[in-house]
Amino acid sequence: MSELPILPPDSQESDVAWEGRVRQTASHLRYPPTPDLVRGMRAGMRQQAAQRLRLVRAVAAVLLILAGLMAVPQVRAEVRRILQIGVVRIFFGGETPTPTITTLPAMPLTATPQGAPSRHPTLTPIPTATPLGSVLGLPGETTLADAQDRTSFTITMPTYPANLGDPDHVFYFNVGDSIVVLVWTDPDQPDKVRLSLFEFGPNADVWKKGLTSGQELEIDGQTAFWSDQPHYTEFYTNTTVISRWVDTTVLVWFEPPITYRLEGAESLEEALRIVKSLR
Amino acid sequence: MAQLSDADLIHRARRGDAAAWDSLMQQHQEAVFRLAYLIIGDPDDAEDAAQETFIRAYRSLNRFDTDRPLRPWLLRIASNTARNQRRSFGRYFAALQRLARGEVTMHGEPDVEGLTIQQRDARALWQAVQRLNEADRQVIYLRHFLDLSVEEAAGVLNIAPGTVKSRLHRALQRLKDVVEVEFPSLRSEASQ
Repeated sequence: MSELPILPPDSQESDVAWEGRVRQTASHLRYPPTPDLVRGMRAGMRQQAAQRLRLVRAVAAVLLILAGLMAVPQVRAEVRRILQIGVVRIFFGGETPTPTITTLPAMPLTATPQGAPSRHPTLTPIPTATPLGSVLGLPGETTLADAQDRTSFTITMPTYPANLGDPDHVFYFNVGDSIVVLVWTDPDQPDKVRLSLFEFGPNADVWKKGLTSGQELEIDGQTAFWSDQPHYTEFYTNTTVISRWVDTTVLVWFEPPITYRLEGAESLEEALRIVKSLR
Repeated sequence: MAQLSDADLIHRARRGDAAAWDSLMQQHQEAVFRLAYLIIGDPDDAEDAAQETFIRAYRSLNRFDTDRPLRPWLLRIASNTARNQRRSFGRYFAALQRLARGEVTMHGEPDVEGLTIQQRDARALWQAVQRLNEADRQVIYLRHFLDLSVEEAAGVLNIAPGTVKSRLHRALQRLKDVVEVEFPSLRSEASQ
């Protein structure tokens, strides 16, 4: 079989010919020999197990110290744990706010910030959040096509459950970066949300507060988080806070560079099936 | 063991059959290592990333859907792991340690003199691809460097096959622009 000539591309050549040249040229790349990963993995797992053992011992020592410190009420009140998944920061511990459900006022979501916008923390007092009663209260409702035009990433949609179809509502807003929210409602109760999928651009800024428990897991090698505990979700800018009281299940995961948040799955198993069905 | 399907081997590995997992690794380690190498550009770091990929995959094996092919799933983990590693501080720290120990090799830059013209062109093409954005790089690596099918690439990228085709088309157009402007040596060699 005669080989295609090596690069370069002729500006007149067809796309098919160019692709053929790229494929042909790439096939000649010389890779280093593939190492014996089987042996390496066994050694790696032994090493990680030994590291975990050392870590467990160190953690046990720290816990003993912490246990002493936690006896002091002031210290106990300040202890928080933070888990970051993509652009979502999850704050554990602290007081869980009492839900005060109000309907949505005209939220200044895309309002012009006062002063230069910045994603870095400042000492400016954060305005009080007005909790939304439902994801349907989010501002910025639009069409899927418009949301896609305004985002730099490809919006993905679940193909499971099979009867889900296109979202009934699509919201787009920008808080540091594009956030797209796809919402499916109950066909018999249009006000009742069946499922919602949040897709966050890589520079969005999202906090979840008031959680005291949840389950960490891995999805495609990245840490994910599952919760069925009521909590607050907040989207922050310097001048705007959008707060929502969430009283359904939530799965947060990161598929670089996009962070996803699924709300309303009936179980973790169903949530993971939905994750796998995203197209 | 060699006649068993990936799904059979996964079921055995889940029950603790180490040989089944070894067999799966042997089948897929080359693709995993090569993808990590393409993303990171250093064989030592690529080996670390490939190893970490299989450790993560093994730990997540119970959640893997055996109705799906294994290779795209492994390559997706490899891609995430390699990209994280490329950005990690630990990688630079390890490189500094190797430098301090006098263990610096030119693994990432093989002896160019010993390469054939085709291999040099392939290397230049790889450098040209590295000028592209991450999404473009990924789709070209999967389709043309690792020779995955459209469906397999779609599985790795978690997008529809049609999106792979359109993304690849755009990536190749951008690659063409990069080659024409920044890699004239490829053009002059070809015209000889």
